[in-house]
Amino acid sequence: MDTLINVDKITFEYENDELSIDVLKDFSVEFKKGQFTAVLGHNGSGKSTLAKLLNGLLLPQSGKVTVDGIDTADEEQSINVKRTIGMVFQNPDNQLVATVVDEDVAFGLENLGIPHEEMVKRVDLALESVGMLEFKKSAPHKLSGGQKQRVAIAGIIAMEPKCIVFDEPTAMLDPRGRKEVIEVILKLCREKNITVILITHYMNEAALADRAIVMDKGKIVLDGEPREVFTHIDILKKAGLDVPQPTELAAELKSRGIDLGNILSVDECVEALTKCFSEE
Amino acid sequence: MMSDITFGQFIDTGSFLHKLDPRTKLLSLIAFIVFVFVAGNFLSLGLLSIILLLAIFSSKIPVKMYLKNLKAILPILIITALLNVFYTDNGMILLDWWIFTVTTGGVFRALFMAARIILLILSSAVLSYTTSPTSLTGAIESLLKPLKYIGLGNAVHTMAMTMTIALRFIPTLIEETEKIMNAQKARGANLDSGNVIQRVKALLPILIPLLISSVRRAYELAEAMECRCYNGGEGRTKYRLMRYSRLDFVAAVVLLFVFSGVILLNIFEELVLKFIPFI
Repeated sequence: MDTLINVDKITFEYENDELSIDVLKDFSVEFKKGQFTAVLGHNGSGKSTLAKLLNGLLLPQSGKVTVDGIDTADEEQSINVKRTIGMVFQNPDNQLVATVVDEDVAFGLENLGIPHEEMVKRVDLALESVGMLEFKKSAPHKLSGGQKQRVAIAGIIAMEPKCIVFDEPTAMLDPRGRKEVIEVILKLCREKNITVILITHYMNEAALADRAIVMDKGKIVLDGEPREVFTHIDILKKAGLDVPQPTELAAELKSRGIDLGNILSVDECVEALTKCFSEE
Repeated sequence: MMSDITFGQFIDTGSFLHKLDPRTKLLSLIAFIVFVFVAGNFLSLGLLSIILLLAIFSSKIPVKMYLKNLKAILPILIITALLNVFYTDNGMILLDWWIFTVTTGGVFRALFMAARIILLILSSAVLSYTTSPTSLTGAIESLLKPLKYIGLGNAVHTMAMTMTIALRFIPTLIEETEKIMNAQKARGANLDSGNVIQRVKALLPILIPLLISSVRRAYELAEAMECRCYNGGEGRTKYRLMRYSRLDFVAAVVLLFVFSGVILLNIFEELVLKFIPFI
């Protein structure tokens, strides 16, 4: 698979007179086209900073971020970078600009100067792909958190980016909204072949990805398939993450001589346990 | 809940006034207000009242809603009328007591001024009941477009964008205010009693968190807008197109006749009065 984003030995620190904290130091990572990557990390692990570096919202102090062959530091190409890499943030309220749903989805298209007929088509398509077409004429403040977040996603999809970076999109949602949003994200990646980078601290969301990266204090501590990554329970705990209970149970059992294999969800755990008991 | 209040007073009844282009309505209102002041006698003011009544009835919005607007300005109406009664002393004396003199001229003048104010309020109400704030913003942006020829194009766009964002965030901020108020009440804040100074002081713990969170919101919104390639007004296309239709043409012609009528009635007042013997 081709590389879409290449982060090459970057350093980034927030400038502050009194104390300067290295958020990322000599940091390198690659993201492949069409892949669903989850970036896990505790607060302050530098994961949100990484997200903002990917589309040029922040620029590294040293090193280089290349998106589809374009350096994000190139000011003339700044619009193209943002067009290639869409971004969805944590708080759905603070991303919606217009007073009507369809006008908000059109906002990005208006900025890009897309002709009117095409705009109308793309707005409907985008709203349909997140399942919000029936709310086309609603006011954003009348929608639930999950619905608002889906509208925000539609606003990005309409711009037809190659990649969408989700910066903790479910952190402020209730369980139902969280489920809605994750379903939409999965659909985008699997059906529309959009590269997805999901920044999160929920392990069960990361379990759905093709690749999971765990960050701690500005460094990558684990990188690989979620199933494999989740077996390193001690490292995950050190990084301040909550390991899913079934995974932890499986690890405990393994240390006492009962090997259930790699377990991610409750269902898997139940299945493995019943199998284990029936064998005995 | 407070956040359920509709901002502005827009009520969608789908009447023909709702279907008019917002620019037509805005320009009509401005012209109407100008002609309320141009109208120099009861006849021309009467003509304006007739067309306004027609507009009010065709808006399909309950007349009660319009009366509510008048109720709010009743004190101003009375004060203006009273001032005018005592300010004019031509005509027949109706009442002469101590330093107060009421003449027929005074009474007519008072009624005239009151009628003017009523027309102003009701005509603005027609606009705000029949036009959503969003389309009004669009109308203002579109009407001010020619300013780009004197280098103010970006200023017009910025203003319109600011208005849109403000409209979008009013319900959000109201909701947030409610949350903060409840949070402070839960901590024992006393918001509803005490004298004026105590009450103003009690507002501070609400205003400060609200201000801080608004700044944070503004910052996040700016980032989100940047991510959606917002780059100011240049090279932008519009999703909501505004088109004048036949209705707008009809409305413009009708108003043109009415306004010419106002001018004619101003000039030929005497002549018209001769044909109406009972006045």
